Amino acid sequence: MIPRAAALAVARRRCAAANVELILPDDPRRVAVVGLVAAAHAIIGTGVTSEHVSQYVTVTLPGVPGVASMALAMIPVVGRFLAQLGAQNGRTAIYLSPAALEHITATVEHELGHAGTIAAGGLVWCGVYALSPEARAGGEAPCYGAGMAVDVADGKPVDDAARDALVSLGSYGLDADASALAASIIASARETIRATGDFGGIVAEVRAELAKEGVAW
Amino acid sequence: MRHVLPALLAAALACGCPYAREAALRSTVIVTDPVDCVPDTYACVAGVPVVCSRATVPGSTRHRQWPTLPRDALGSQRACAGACVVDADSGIAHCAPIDASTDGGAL
Repeated sequence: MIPRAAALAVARRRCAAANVELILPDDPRRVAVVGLVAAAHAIIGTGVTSEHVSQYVTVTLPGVPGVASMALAMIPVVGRFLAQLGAQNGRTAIYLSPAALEHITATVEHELGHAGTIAAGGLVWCGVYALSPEARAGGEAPCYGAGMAVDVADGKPVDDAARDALVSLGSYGLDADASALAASIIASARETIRATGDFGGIVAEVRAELAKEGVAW
Repeated sequence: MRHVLPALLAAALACGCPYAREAALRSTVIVTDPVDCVPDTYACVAGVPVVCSRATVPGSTRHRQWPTLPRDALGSQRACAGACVVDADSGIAHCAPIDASTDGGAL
């Protein structure tokens, strides 16, 4: 089990190194984003409640340049939430949920994968993610693999981690083909973690950072 | 092209049209080009395990291969630190220690 203070210190350093802002649950900016995410769920009709989003949903959102942010603020109802995306001076931000504080490292490593796709794909990728179940599966499942790798390194059985990832992926509005894609990616992640104890170097990187905090992990 | 992308995304959002959605996918640099692959089969591409999606590209018989490893926080595609192998029994591609190349299929 990673001590919370060390996990938070490592998360902050890794986010800062990627020019990503880490926003804690009690930050007023997260309150606004909860409204945005809850509104999106209501529009899509996923059945996910605002209370659930508030307590459990961690989200990574791209930054929006200042002028565009002002324009977004003029949109009725959700504008004030959208405008919050500009509050990070164009930087991508991870909005941690209260529940994520119990799993900071796994959550942040998952979200840093999203930060990477946003860094490489920009706002266009975010639009494609919203439109395409295939893109959501292909974008989400590897990030769940990152969280799985951390959980397994922290003592969770790999099959349990894979099962939990698949359950979570069920809430992304995936169609049958996209669900199959997500399951195939998780199967590969499971075997990679089983064979190497890592997932493309994520565990080694976290372990090195924790060592700087005096934590042998 | 920059002016066309928002229109493509808006069109895809408005009509749910698979062709508009495909155009949006093609405009995204991090989504790979369609290839001739068998759905649900794995491969190793440049040291990265990938899997062939069941979704067919509109107007063709092609599919996309999706990496099973995430990108790092700066946007680079992560790859296996050791070897990428395709398990001979399960057919699943995954990373393996550098000396565990006996399963074959590594590219």
